[in-house]
Amino acid sequence: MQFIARAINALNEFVGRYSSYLILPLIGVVSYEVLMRYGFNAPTAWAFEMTVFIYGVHYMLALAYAHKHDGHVAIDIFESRLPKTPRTLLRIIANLVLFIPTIGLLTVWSFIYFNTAWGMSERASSSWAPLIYPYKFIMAVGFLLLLLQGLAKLIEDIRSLRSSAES
Amino acid sequence: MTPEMMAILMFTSLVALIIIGHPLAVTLAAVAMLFGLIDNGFNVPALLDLFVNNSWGIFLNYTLVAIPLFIFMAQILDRSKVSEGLFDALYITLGGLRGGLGLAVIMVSTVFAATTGIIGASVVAMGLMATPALLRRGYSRPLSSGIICSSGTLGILIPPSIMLVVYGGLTGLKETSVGNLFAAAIVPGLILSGLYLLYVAVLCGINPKLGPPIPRAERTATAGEKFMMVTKNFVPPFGLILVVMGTILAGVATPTEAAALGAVGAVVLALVSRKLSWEVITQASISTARTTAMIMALFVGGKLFSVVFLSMGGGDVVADALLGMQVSPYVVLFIMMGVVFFLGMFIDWAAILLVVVPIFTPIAMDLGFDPLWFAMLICINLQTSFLTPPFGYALFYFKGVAPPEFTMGDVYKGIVPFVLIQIIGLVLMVAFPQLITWLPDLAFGR
Repeated sequence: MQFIARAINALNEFVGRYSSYLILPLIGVVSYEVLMRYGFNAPTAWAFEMTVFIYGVHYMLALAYAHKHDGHVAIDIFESRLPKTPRTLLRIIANLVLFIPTIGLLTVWSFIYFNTAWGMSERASSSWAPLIYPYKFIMAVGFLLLLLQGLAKLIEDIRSLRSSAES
Repeated sequence: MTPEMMAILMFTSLVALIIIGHPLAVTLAAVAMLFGLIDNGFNVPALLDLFVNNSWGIFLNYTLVAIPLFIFMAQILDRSKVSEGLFDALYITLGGLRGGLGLAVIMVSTVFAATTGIIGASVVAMGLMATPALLRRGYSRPLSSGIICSSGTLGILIPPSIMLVVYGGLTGLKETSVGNLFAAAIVPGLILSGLYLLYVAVLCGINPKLGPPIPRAERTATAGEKFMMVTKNFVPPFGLILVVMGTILAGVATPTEAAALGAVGAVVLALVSRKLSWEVITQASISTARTTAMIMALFVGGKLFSVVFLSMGGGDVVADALLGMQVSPYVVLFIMMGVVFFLGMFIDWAAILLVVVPIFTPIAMDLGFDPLWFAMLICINLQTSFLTPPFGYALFYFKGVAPPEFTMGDVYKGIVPFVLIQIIGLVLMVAFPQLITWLPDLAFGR
């Protein structure tokens, strides 16, 4: 099981590090639109949607990375005072009861949502009218990576519980 | 089950589940899923369609794009060490006054409040930078920690602020657009900063032992040198803020566009001061992605929670309870502020904002309050929530970076007067709504 956790960690580390650079094209596109509109009085048809899409991809792909580094806010004032074993046990239960069902269902349904958009080649209702499904696909992938990261944490917690039970 | 029962049960489940320490965003979504299913008779496809649709709606929210842009701007400025330069300059300029060093800390924090927009960063940065100097000069420990914690949290209020972007993106109301909120927050932020300055100056004026001036022998800089130092370090960051806020207030750029210009400006400043490298950009990008993911996850979780809570009539339950009391609107306002203040002792600002604002805003509008004014009261209240024991996050951030001689007792003792100042500030805003509405009225002619 450990190699699964390691593989997920490596995947999310990779995706998180490289997708974080999307902030640079995001700055670029918004600045370009400002320049074209005020500098040349020639607003683009695509910058507005492009901005939104880049940002969506940016944060959806970072969700799992943040979870890997315990970056999501939690009220851990009570939990952090527990001894190690009950704390690990509590984390495992919360993961099984809250995280995996919720994020699991969101993942499955966002793939269904993507599939619908793909099937009908859905386009945005704007003059630029880009295809929507690639972005819905990324949203689903973002939830999937988050789900995988939760599984990796579950595997690690179970192992740490086992090793502390043995010693 | 009656809607009343369901609403109460949903809220208590949330509170009970929060304390087990699981990420809040997931807990919010999980509670939403459980109660959504109970409410719609376990129709999984219908609920999940609703949830995925809402997640997609957030994906398409243009206003929220300002969040990573402002965070990136702050990250780059932080790494180019502009605040150190300004602190050194003000330290030398004001050091000769009683409490002068404390005043310098508050002023630097106020300027950088405008650039950071997230609080952990400014309390940690000021704590690391200023605490050793304050201790060396014999400042009392409680006063030092109170100054750093309170002025460090101004970053969440003084625009451009992430909290205000989240608020604007959440309500989608014209009155509480991000531009309006930014304009409305400037005067209250400066008033709070002014009250801190006044308090420190008066306190140390009366009792110099709490904040002694620098000995005369060490005051060697001439007035001209001081002026040059302050100007050199003050103009670049202040100019950047002026451009960002100016373009928004003049109606030239949307907050998102202004944020992108601010990010470009920060990169240029870093380049000019020779602090820019690929490593700096990489580190800033990674921190930005992490913080953004955290806020967006909460936004999704909070949205799902409030969609379910409102659709099963929870909003009406709260409204009926508050409006059914047949008391003055100000009593209801007081109760709502009390709830936010109380929640703020335990829960993070973003969660409070995302859960409470969709419920309270219609009530405030029903009572005839200006939604912008109401929004600003909530935001000042949430800023205070970082300072209120037992779980004021600013206090923990500070304790984490302060030298070991600071006890938690010092920190708690030091924050009390500043929490009182916050409450005075809040009362001022209630008594004189123009303090909040004047600038947005002037800028946007609402």
